[in-house]
Amino acid sequence: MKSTSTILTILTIILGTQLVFAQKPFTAKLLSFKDSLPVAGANVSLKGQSKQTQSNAEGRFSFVLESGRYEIKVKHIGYKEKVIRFNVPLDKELVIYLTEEDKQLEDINVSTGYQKIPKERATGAFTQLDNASLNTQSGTNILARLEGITIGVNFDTKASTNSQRKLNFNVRGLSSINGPLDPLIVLDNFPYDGDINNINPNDVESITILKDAAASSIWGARAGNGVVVITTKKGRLNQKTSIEFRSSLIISEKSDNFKLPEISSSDFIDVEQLMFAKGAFNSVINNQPYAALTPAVEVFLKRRNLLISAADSARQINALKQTDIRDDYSRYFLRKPYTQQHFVNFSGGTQKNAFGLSAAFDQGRSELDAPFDKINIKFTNSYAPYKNLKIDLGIYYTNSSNESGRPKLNTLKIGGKKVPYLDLADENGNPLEIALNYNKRYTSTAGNGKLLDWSYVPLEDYKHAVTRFRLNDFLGNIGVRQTILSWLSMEARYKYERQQSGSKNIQELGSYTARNMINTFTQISPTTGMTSYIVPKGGILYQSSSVLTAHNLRAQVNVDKSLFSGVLTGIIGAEIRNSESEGQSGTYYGYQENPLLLANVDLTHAYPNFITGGNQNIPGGQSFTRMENNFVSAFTNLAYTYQNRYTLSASARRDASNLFGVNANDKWKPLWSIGGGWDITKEPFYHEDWLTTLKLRITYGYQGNVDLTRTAMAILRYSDNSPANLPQASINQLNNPELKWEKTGQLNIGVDFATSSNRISGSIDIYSKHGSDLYGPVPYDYTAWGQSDYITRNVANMKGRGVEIDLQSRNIDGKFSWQSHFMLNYNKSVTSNYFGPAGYTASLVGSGSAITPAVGYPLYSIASYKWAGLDGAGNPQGILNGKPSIDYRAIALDRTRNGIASGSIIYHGNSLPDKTGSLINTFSFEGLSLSLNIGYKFGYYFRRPALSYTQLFGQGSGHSEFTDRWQKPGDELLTGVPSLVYPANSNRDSFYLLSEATVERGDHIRLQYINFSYSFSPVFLGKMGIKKLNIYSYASNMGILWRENKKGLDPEYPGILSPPKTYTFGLNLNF
Amino acid sequence: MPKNHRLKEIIQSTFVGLLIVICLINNLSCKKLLDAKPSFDITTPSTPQDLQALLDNSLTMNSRTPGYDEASADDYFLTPENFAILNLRAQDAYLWKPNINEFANDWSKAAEVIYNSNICLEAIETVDGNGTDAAQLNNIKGSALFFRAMSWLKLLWTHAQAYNPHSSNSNMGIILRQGSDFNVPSTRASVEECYSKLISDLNIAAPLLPDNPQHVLRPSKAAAYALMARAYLSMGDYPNALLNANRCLNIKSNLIDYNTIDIATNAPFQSYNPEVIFHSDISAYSYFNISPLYASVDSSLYQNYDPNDLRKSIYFARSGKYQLFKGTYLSRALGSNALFTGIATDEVILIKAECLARANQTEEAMTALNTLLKKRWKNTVPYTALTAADKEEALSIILKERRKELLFRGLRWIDIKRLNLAGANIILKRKLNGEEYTLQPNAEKFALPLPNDIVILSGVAQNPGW
Repeated sequence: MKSTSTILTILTIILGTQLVFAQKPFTAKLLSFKDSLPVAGANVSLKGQSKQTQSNAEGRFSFVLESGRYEIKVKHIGYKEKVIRFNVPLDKELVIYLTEEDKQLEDINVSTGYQKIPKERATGAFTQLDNASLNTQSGTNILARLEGITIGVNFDTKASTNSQRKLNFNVRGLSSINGPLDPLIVLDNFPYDGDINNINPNDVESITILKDAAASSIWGARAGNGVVVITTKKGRLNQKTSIEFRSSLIISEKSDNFKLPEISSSDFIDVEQLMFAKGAFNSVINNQPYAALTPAVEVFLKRRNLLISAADSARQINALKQTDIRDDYSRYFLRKPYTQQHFVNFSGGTQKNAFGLSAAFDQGRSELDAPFDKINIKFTNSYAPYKNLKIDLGIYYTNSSNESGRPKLNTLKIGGKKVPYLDLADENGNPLEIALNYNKRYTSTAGNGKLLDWSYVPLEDYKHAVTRFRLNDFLGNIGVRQTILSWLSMEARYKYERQQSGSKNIQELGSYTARNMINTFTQISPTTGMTSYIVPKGGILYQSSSVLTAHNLRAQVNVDKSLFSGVLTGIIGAEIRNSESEGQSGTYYGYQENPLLLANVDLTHAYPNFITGGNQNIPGGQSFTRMENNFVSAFTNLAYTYQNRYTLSASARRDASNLFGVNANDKWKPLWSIGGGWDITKEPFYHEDWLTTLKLRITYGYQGNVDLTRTAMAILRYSDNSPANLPQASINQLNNPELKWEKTGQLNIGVDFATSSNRISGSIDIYSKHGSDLYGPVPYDYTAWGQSDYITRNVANMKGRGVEIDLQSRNIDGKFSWQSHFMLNYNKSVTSNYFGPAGYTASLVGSGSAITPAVGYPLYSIASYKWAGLDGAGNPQGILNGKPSIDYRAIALDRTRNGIASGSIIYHGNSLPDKTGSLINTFSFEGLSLSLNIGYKFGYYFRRPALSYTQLFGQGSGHSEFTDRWQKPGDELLTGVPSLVYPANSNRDSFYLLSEATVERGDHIRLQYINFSYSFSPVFLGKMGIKKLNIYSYASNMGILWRENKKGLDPEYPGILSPPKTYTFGLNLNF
Repeated sequence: MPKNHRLKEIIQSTFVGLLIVICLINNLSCKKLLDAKPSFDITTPSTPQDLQALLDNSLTMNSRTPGYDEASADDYFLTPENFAILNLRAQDAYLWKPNINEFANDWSKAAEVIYNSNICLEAIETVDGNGTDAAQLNNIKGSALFFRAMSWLKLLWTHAQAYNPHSSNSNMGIILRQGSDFNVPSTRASVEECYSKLISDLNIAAPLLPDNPQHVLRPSKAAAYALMARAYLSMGDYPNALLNANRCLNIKSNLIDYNTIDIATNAPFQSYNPEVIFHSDISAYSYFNISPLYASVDSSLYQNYDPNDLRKSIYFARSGKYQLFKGTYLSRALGSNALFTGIATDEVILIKAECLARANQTEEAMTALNTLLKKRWKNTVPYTALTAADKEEALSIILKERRKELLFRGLRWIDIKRLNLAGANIILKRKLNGEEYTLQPNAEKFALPLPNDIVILSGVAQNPGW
């Protein structure tokens, strides 16, 4: 692992002038570069002589030397070897700073959340990131910092819609088809279910990724997707009090909405004109005279009703064609977002007590001017009153709040339809209204002035409608460890978490939402003209809150005993976990914040809608939820290392939970692993000095995956009362008595190696995975139950294999140094068995974002309709029975009947990259350091968005390729964009959207980040009492360097905006 | 500290520690934890309250009436513009063309009602009825039977030929699922089996149900009789239809005087109004053709209303050149274009009138009809009672009024089928963009096709002609 201290070059300080003395004792002092503390016990040898010595407790050593030039070599475990040349005599003591060794393979403990295992004795596949590595990237989300620097972890921007997936990354590919897909997050020994954004990245000391079965099976039934163990900073015993201060500023560019492939205003209006002429809007105009129409259609309507002249109409239409909503939107709605982060940490320790106290404050504003802030306070204390007893205490408190800002671009619609040519402000910047639901013709006269203003002004409305979120999270833990014998200790740990969150959406009387609701229910007496308000004239408050509490209790026995020329380490223990969440939400009318006012409304009776006259109930009411999850587990992990060479490990765990509807007997699921490690360099026959580390690992075991939403019984859920005001319930899960849990077996073979001085080091892991009893959707005869045409059962098996190569090299060492870090992940997972009808594989034809259970195909893959270009009339042609065809229904039918075997379909390949990784080059000179991260993803396809006339006519969303559409015979030779047909043929559109013509290769290389930092010289700083000062700047989302597709698309963000370039400036200061 | 004392302490603390661990591992102590409900608002259907709540889920049980039959019938037509806006399923239904009609569809909506009913019927046998009065348990059982029968009847009207006593044993009916287990394969029962099963269920249900329900979203005795009257009428069993219509009207026979209705408004009627015996509606369309937003009322039908007939102005609103239907028995919220498909007293009176006429009780038949029509007549103009010289004339008047009163209620399709079987010779025609499509009386296509995926997944036979 890279750390900032290691990227600094050797600093040798020779002070004073040379004076001639003979046979004087020469003395020097060894200090650690990192914290200026003395380094004791270092080996010092004099070149060309047999003299050797060791540094004492103060870091001092001495030789008696004659005048002359000498060279000494300093060696100490944990520090880089150092060669110093100097002349004797010296007038002052020589001070030598030792930089810390890369923590790659030396003396590192990997934390599993249950125990710390010395890395050299670990058999499993772990990836550990220390604080320095995590700080090469910026941002408020700790897990996002893993991207690009962590072997075995893949980030995927596309998968955020899946409810089983809240974190957008996976460990070693996917292990489940339809179950939960998130890795388990462990924070300081216990699973963490709170919001990941609560954890301040500055509080994190290290992160360990548990990848294979031996590493993660200790987490049992929840380890199937890998485990991410987060360890926070703590004070250490016998450490001087130190202060760490960090501060940073993150700024981004505004989003450039003009990069979105949208149809032009001019083209859009031409389409509206055609639709108007064909009578597309007549039904709305006649039947819903109040309904909103787009500005151009209003002009056409005025012209048709002869309210304006042809010339006026043309002039107004022309003006609209010159308008682009993105101009005003960018000018009046967007701002450059920023985030500020400040952090201070005090830590230190005496012989009996160690403490850490930190405080952090984050604050910023989003692009939509939405403010947010967060405070973290953390306190840890470790107390060792007696030699054999240690008590750990920890408290972590988070308070965050944020507010909504200005409206998003895609909410600015006319009658639910996107319109590209709206004006949001006039030339002088005065806000303009848009017809959100109703047209001005109607709202300006409705109620003869007795109603509230019914207009919606986007630039004003958000000032009267705000949503505030607040979150309080408290974590407290206590641990007691009693050493009973030198090799035996017992510990008990307890953690309590309470996360309280709430949101308040306040729609003031001035907001459109409130005015609309009040107007809708206003009654004006036809006889007296009196106005009565069913919904009181006032604001509306939508409020919700939830509380999550979790108790964890663990008891564990630890063993660490020398036995028959080896060491036996192990744990055995049990734990209980209980988590409860309660929530409530409600709607309140007549709300006023100051002074606080509420009014009662009648939710039980229906009242006439002002517009339609039909009766309806006032929406609202309150709802409550409560969930409880309990887990009981027993676990053990044992490892025996013989002669420091051979390690054998084994683990087992049983889990039970209150998984609803399953008999208690079936709730227990034992999972196990075994592993072996062989440190070849410790063998007596091993004499290769150039290869100082060579270790083989092999493991096998099982991980589980639980989905608490699946049950074997029909599940009934109560919801709000029915219109009859009676309690009502629905069954939302079909009974399936044969349900089992998912299970993944994994074999991992790894080798760790390093050449002398770690010039080249790294590891290679090869693994294979096989999942069985995976949940998957299967079509069934829904005559039995109509709510879904699929039911989820244990239907599939999957096979996956992969390779992880992690290589680090020191290309140039010295004053100027150059280090490289290369990572390659290869993962290929295919469905090996699936029980479902053949036609089901038809879903391969899609966007590649749904998992396709076609046997032998990758879990995520993509296929298309075959493409035979446009015909002479601009119709897209597919292939049916071997011939070009425009019978889209028949092609679609062939696909649903025959699935992947259909002759109308072509298979492309993966829709997730199978080869990913990055190359990090770090250059340093003196205190300067420059780091570049180049990421790559290879071997996949993606579906680009394209033009759909159905969507254009219906929702107003059109693709910019509209300009390139077929317009006249001969165009078919130049373009693949189908001709406009009205009315739209939805089969024709969906054929084109899913055809070969809209698939692109995803392979690309991007510049992930550039990090530039400067560390001030410790000597310089030492004079000011500062241990370390580091300033840095960091740029991310720097764009694509190379892509396979010729359309200039970002395969990670097809059709949506790539995240804007982001810059960070910061400083770290240690006292 | 003496050495043996220290050893004792070690042994003690080790023992206590292990005891804690063993205690934790032993799942006996954890049984309570493991048996906790994950969420307090979910449960397996086990108490009478659960079952009643399932049946009170009005969105599933009352608002999912299939509309394929109505979309195939002739009370409406589509302008070419509106035809163009509609999806393929709706377009195909309009022109009686085969369609894949895969999930989600009307079939699945009906299946949900049937599944919920089956769950209740299974659970009611084992439910812990302690502390529950018999009336509540009876209501659950009766309601479940009623809901299931109502869905079956609709599917039967849609997907099977009209009941013909000569071929009802060989004609294919629908799938009569009587349990919740999805592993039981689907098979199609004969038309005869279907009608006799649903009628026998209704006969069991009626005595279990209260005369008048707590709310018209719930089934009642009146509703069960009315549904039986509907079923018998569609079978051509007029004496039984009459018997049940009378049983229903003895409980409930309220009529709304249309003079009290605001003519001008867009949504003249309220939901659950005094005429409604049992409420159901189409709120989520599979076939948008019949949504009042798109469907134009058949022009010759509209011409049939007398200017003094209030229905002419209450039921219809002008939209461009044509009329749209606004006379549905629903309070309509903004944007809602749902259609009432439940049972109201006007329908039962019309059943009674028709059956009386068919039984040669012409005068009684016309009296029943006049009772209804008087309430539809403008009170500023004297109402002249309709008369008929004979059975045929009475029948002709009553059937005409039936169509005028009950349009867009999901009744027309089966009326065409049963009347054509008796020789009415109603030919269905659609004109679109210069082309004419027709459906001849008693054509095979009157049994509308099953969804394609159901045929594939269950292996049941598709209807002939599709």
